[in-house]
Amino acid sequence: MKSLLVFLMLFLTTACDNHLNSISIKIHGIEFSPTEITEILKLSPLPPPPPNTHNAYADNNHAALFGQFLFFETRLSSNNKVSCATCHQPETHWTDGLKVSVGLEQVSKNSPTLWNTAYNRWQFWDGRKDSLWAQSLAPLENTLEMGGNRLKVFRLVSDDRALREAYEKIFDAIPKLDTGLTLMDACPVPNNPKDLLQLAWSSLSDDDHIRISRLFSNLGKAIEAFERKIISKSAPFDRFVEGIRRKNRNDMESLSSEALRGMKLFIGKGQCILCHTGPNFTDREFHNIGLDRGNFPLAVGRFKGIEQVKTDEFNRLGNYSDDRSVLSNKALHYVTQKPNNLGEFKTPTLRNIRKTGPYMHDGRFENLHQVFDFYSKLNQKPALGHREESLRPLNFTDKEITDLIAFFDSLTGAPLDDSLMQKPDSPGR
Amino acid sequence: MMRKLNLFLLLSFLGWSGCSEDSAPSENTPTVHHSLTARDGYEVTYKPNPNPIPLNDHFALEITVTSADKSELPANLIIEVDADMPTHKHGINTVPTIRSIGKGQFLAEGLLFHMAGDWEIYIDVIRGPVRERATFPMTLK
Ligand code: HEC
Ligand code: HEC
Repeated sequence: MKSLLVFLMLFLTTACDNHLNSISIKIHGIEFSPTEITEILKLSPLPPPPPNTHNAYADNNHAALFGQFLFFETRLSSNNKVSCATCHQPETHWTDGLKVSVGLEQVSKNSPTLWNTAYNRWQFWDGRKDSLWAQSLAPLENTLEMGGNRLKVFRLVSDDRALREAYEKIFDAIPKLDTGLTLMDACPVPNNPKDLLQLAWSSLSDDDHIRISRLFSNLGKAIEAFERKIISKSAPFDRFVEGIRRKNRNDMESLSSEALRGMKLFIGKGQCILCHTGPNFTDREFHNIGLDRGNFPLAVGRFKGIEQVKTDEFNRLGNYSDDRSVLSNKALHYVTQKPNNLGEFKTPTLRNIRKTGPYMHDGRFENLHQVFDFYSKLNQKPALGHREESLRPLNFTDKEITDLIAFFDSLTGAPLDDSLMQKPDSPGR
Repeated sequence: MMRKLNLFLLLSFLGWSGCSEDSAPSENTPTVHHSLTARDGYEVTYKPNPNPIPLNDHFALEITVTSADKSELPANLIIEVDADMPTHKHGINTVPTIRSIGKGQFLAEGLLFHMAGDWEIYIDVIRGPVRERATFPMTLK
């Protein structure tokens, strides 16, 4: 009982979070107030991913295997060299470790981790997609990333026997196209009517447009089914929280005093939980934290993202969604562009944060010290809009930074099963 | 800007009870909220659904408007709803849709408060060129 003192009301015996509200706990000599305990309990455990009605294949295991195959498939790119895994490598926690990613060419954004993307309300730093399946179609056709196009992809899946079999087993029989076999590449290129791919796309029948886009969106749905398995839990922090919940001293004492002090800073003085909240350490929304322009391309962030997601042909209210009801898609239905959205970016998850640098939407910070230095001083002039007033310079001491990093260490989860970290032998079973 | 202080009734609940779903809300109280509009023209109440207002999830407001002097409520009133975090200088990212669901009764759908802290809900009662605002401060935990 030397290093651990638990004060609890004797009559509160059920394992119910409310009842823990009145306990003060001392661990390694560090005291956590009932309010702090309440906040900590909100951060763990990570529940199963939210149900998904807009992708009817989201929890289909055949689709997930097919999607995993596609994730590592370089034939989807124009030079047969780039796959999703080029920029989201399993070994580097589903990032590429670069400041900004390089596919066919360099892009202007940092590759976010794919850990726990199934919990996101919006995808991309600016939330210009509202589902994982719609998101995955973007890099396939992005000329800087994979440079593919949906007709090429349609041809690949219909002509390759293994892909075709796997696809038809999960989805429908692949329809014949009206167009002959000479046309190999086509996709819509918004804002550029003269683009060769757009011209080719315009030459196709309306029915072909739908057939091709339907197959294309189904590939996205398979990829989403795979991504829904990339879940990070069972971090040392989760064990600690479980310890509090179950009043298990060993588990409560499993974190170092540095990590515990860092945790207190995170939920207390730092007020990081205003945005990095809930069991995935994000509110799933967007904020302007006031990063400066620096030498980086000007990024309007959420402001443009709202416009894009509202008009996206693959959004959850569109033709390719498996559930177009307003009730299931409130976020998209009600979201509206406002001037405040200028310069806002999505709050990233902090699970595995020690492993997913460089940091911020443009990868401007190579390490966490630089991130903490930023939150310490807040002396940058926001590139756009204004910094959210909830942020105040925190003037962290070196010791506090060490503590926060120790806390972040406790957020690194257990590795994923090996079988999910590589290309499967075949796209179907 | 001179604005008359609104009448604001706060029903708070002391303490908490067990963890069953139907126990009294321990946070994000009160349940029914009353306010007069800034120029005393209307009395406005709202009841959130779900109640209390959830953090970072969509909710609706059931709104009732009556004339403050108990006279017949004018027809063709338009209601608009918005909300802000005054100390953070930002608000909600949605525009709620408003439906009339009876005389002086409206349903505002599509609100979402993504951050904990102090919020103000604004319910505007609009009649022709005249807009009167009822302001409801609340703290979301
Ligand atoms: C050239 C590198 C590159 C390739 C190839 C690539 N990505 Fe990405 N990915 C990125 C970058 C950079 C971002 C962030 C871009 C932005 O937000 O504007 C991103 C964002 C994402 C996100 C959003 C995550 C979040 O939290 O918002 C997901 C999911 C994702 N990619 C999955 C995929 C899939 C699936 C593929 C293959 C179909 C793929 N990526 C191919 C670089 C790449
Ligand atoms: C007002 C909301 C808000 C608060 C409060 C906040 N953050 Fe953030 N945080 C963000 C957003 C938004 C980003 C991404 C910004 C960007 O890339 O432009 C971010 C990025 C980060 C990153 C980089 C993550 C990555 O993968 O690139 C770290 C680390 C981080 N925050 C830690 C903290 C810590 C520690 C605190 C408390 C001291 C904190 N944050 C407080 C919103 C917030």
